[in-house]
Amino acid sequence: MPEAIVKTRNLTYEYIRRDAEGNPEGVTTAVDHLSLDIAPGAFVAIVGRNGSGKSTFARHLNALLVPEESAVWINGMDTREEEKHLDIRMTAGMVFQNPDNQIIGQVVEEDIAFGPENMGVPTEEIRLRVDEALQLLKLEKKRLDSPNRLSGGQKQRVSIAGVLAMRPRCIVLDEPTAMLDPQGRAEVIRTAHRLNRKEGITVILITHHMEEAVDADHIIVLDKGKIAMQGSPREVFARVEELRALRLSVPQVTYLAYLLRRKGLALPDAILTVEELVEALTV
Amino acid sequence: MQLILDHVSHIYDAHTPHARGALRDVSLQIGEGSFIGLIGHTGSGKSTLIQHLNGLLKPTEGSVYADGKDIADHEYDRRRLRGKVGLVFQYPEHQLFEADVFKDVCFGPKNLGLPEKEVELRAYEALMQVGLEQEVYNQSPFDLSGGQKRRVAIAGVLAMQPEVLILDEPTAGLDPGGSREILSLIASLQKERGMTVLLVSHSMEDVAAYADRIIVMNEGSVFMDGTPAEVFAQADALREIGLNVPAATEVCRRLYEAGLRVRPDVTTAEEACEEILCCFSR
Amino acid sequence: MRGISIGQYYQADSPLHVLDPRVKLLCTLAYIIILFFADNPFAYALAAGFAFAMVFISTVPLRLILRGMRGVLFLALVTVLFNLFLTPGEELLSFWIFTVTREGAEMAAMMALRLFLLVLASSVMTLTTTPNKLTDALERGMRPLRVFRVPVHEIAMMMSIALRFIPILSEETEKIRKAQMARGAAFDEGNVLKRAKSLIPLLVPLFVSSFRRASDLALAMEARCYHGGKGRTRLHPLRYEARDVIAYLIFAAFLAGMIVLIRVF
Repeated sequence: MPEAIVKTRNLTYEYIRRDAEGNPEGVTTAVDHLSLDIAPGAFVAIVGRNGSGKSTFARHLNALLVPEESAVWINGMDTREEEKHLDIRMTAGMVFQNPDNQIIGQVVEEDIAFGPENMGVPTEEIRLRVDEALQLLKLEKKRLDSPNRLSGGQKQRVSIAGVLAMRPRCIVLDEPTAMLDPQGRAEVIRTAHRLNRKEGITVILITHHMEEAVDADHIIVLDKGKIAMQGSPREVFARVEELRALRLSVPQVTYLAYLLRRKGLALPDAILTVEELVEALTV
Repeated sequence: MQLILDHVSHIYDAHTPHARGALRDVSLQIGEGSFIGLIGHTGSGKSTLIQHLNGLLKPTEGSVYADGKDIADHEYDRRRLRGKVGLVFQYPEHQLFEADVFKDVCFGPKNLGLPEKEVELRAYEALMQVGLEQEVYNQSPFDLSGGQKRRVAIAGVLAMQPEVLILDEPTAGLDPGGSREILSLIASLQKERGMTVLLVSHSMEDVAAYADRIIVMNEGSVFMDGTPAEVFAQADALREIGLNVPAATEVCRRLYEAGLRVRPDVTTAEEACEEILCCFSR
Repeated sequence: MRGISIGQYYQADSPLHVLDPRVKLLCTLAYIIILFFADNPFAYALAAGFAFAMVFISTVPLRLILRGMRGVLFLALVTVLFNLFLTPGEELLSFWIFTVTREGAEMAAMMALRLFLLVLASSVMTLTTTPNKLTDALERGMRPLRVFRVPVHEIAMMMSIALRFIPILSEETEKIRKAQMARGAAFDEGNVLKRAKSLIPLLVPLFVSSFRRASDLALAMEARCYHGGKGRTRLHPLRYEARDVIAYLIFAAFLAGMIVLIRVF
């Protein structure tokens, strides 16, 4: 197995809760001794309820948060070494939840160029990268538009393009669909899969919509900063009761199959699509 | 409260080059005590529609009547109307502003000009109804979790004791657990208080589970209006405008087409489960 | 915010659009300065002719520009009235306590024209230049100030971010306004004090949201390797081309014309 692109050992992040007057009330452990390895080229979904620590975890992958005692390595680089931060951010790009709060440029292509500009990439090379990103994200026609005129899904594609222009090996998407409508959500998830498949970019998708994790290679369910379960989608989706207890849900068809199984119908484990269920019931 | 939309059209920026139609000749009756789901794409006119119901927007053409009175009339008291037709917008962050939760919930009834005692009583009652613990009442609304903020926002409107409660995607941004809680809260409020609820949602499954009437909007017009079973029976028409039916409906429909004796118009997983079991036990 | 065209870029493919923003910035500045020296109808005619020629070349519909200037027209009207009634000189007509003098009328006409042309010229500049390019031009233009430790890059970056967020925040303000109106708030009732107080439910959510946006944005910029202006390259670096030189020459000719007209008459 090639060296992990993301590797964490006992990653722990604690912060002090304060009351209204600013007096410390207690310590919250957002990430709790998390150890995991993500192989290059994988599509990993990290799911968990709000407050499960998934976003805090994501921020460690981009050296936006740096652990004190435990460690995170991105492509072998230790995020505790400050002089590597730029390299780390070029290796693991990050897309955030609210598209409006991460687009800096007032024209689509100028925004996409922002990362490479900061990296000091020569102008001709920036042009090349921007064009490539526009093409990969199917945004050529929106090149000169103001981001304010785009739909939510398109804005998130601009955000992804902006990260892509930095030529990262890994993209971390931190709840990229939370503010989008179903079309926008589908658009973003499709895009993430395409980049993973065609460009071989490692994708780490953070979400609380289990439906979006159906096509991932591997799902990690976080709760209270710890791994509550992990495995292939089928393995995870088979545990309907546990997921509901973790304030998550399964797609309705999976839930229906689960209900039928519980009533004694002989069905395979963890049905993920309507087609599968119909086929299982008609043969 | 009976709300009637009579051939309502709305054009944004009318008389300018930016003019764009948002509602086209919409006629609807929103009656007493029902749970209505309003679905449609972004830009289908849903938001424009709900803002007509409490007079935040005025129709470019046509009229909106509340209990028989035209709400666009000059002497009509639209502020009182907003107390009767409560509208909770999508993001609680857009309305929370007071130093503590209790004061924030008082804002609505206070604006209705009620005496202080009554205002506080209503606020207290509303906070109880949305299931917030007492210790939250004097906390800053900005320190709450997403689900709690949503509850405070709903309480802020409930405290005006509306007869119609409109909620614009109240589960946006919540995790599935939080969504389930908010939806069942709304359903129980509707039953207990006998309110009419209008729920704007993108989730067919949610709407199917709670609504007894569904209005589908498309390109500014009412595309369908009926019970969940009636609406979701027209899966092909819905697909044409890019909407889906609940997965449970889809499964039963396909089984029906494959010759199994299941009703194709079920709308929830529980119903589908029963139908399929029934069919297999025969 | 809709309908205000100052600062709102108008996408088109005109010779003015492709000019180096420094050319446009410098020439607009020079144009405004020379306007203040213009003191006769001939000079104004030339200045107006030049401005309208630029509007024509820019392909931006004149109606759009004029609509964006409505706010300024009010200001112009006030100025005109002041000049019309308060300038002493040869009396033209008089009623009640008002007296219009010949000098006053001339002054008023000139002021109105001056203000109009000033705003027209600035509008043409902002309509044909993306705010990003404009801030670029400012950054370059102010570069000498770096000697005095003026954070030129940071100022330009702040301006550009402010411009990007103006439409977002104005949309958000509208949403907050509606959310509060749905709770019975009224923003247009009562005396000044009451009105000011009624803005609190609007301003608090707006501030909270702006702070949140600011911290989100800072994080996003950091994640995209932003570390100040040092070592930054640009997708669109500013480089003078032949057309920019030609533009400077044309403008110089106009300036010369203006100077002649101002001197001769």
